[in-house]
Amino acid sequence: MAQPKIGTLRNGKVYRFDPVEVAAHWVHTISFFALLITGLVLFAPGGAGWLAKLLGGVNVTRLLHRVFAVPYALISLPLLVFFSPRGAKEWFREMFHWDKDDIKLMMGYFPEILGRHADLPEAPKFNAGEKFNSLLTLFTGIGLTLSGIIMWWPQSFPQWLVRLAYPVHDLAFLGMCSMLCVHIFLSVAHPKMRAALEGITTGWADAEFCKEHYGKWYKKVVTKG
Amino acid sequence: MAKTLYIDTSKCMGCRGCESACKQWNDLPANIKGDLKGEKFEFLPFNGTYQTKTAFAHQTYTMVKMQELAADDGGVKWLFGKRQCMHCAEATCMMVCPVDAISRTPEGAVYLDKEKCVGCGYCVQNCPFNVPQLDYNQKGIGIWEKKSSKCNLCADRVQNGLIPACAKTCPTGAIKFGDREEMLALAKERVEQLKPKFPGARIYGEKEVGGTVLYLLTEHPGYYGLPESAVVPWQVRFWKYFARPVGELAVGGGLLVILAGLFFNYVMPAKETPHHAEGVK
Repeated sequence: MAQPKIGTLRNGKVYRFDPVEVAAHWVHTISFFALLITGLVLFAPGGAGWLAKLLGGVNVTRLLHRVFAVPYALISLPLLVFFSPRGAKEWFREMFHWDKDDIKLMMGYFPEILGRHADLPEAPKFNAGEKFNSLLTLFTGIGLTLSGIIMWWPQSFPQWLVRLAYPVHDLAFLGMCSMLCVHIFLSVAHPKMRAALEGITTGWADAEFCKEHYGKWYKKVVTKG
Repeated sequence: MAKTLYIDTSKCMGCRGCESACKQWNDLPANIKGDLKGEKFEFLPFNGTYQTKTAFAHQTYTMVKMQELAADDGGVKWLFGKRQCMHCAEATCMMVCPVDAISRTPEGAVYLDKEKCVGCGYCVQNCPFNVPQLDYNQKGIGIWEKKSSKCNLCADRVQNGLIPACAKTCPTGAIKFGDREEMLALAKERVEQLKPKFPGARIYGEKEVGGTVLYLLTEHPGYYGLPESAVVPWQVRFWKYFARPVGELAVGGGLLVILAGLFFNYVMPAKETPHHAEGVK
């Protein structure tokens, strides 16, 4: 069966993401969480005790962290770029393109998180918060990957760089976790934004939600089909 | 009471008895076969000097470094410097260890507990003297047990009133162990004694690292492979005093947003119905 066109409206739902975009999101999610949990062994208080025991010991955890690093670094982004060039193009264009409306939405969004109404400008395919999340995901991903490669093979790099890799790795993962708190809260628990989770899981998101939250995109691309 | 290991390099004749005594007391195997920094060899390599060990290793806690220098009278000077963990006052390894496997003994030594060590290698990469080294033991396919290893200043001996094995065995009195004040006085006296013949004589370790090891050197520290000033690497300071607190603050902020979000959406929701777009047909 042919893929519906992005923006197709059917049974009150809008086709927002193709299966490759969905897969890229979830490969990234799963590998990130696996890396987070295995990495916390060296970070959480007493993590090397109880958490490592849960994961099969520190020596096994060390291997697992490297195993999950491979899909994190090598699968999700190439998947998107090579198998959904349209999705990749939209994502990159949106995250690097900020106009006055985006900044206004970013600045005024906090009451919305708390369930209060704020008069906000319409957003394109990704709203300002999602753009910021995308930028952070991309750049912390690059930082984590590069510093991780250096820490994996320290003997192949100059010592000052190996030493720098540790703070970079920490700062990147903590920064991403901070953003993730908001990202997960909005997608799982927020009464209005929760609808976005269906969009990134099935590809189809509630039309009313899309019209309200991605007005610019909705007007431009949504067609009945 | 703070103790100090005092090494008078002017008295060292390079016998390497300290290397053997260290291996014997700490039950460390010899380097007959092995791989040191990627260099594989079957027997001790002859490298043209009286130095036999080229680097610290998991089974080498101490070594005597040798350096040949041209003397002013046309002859040669031999410099021997017995090296081991410096037991720094501000110990980088202690700062970076994520599992608190490294602690300070009441006598001032920096003690690495191999039982607690998880082999992350943070201390190995960040030590300004490159002292700790990892001990690898294969436990399965791709699974390695790693343990950091270094000199513990014979903490077990010292706690029982003995002196470290290297100091005990030294036949010339080049290695001494005792109260810091006493050792410092000895070193100062020796510098004055040596000055006429060795103008480069100096104390190393009093201000540098300020730890539990004190050197009397007859030349610039560089000839002994010692850094002129050894401080905690800036990357480690950036890590401990900026990256971690800032990152943790950010995560704390994120968690607060979750709590506030849950509270204001469910416990105390908005009174007026939120604005909704016109229904989509």
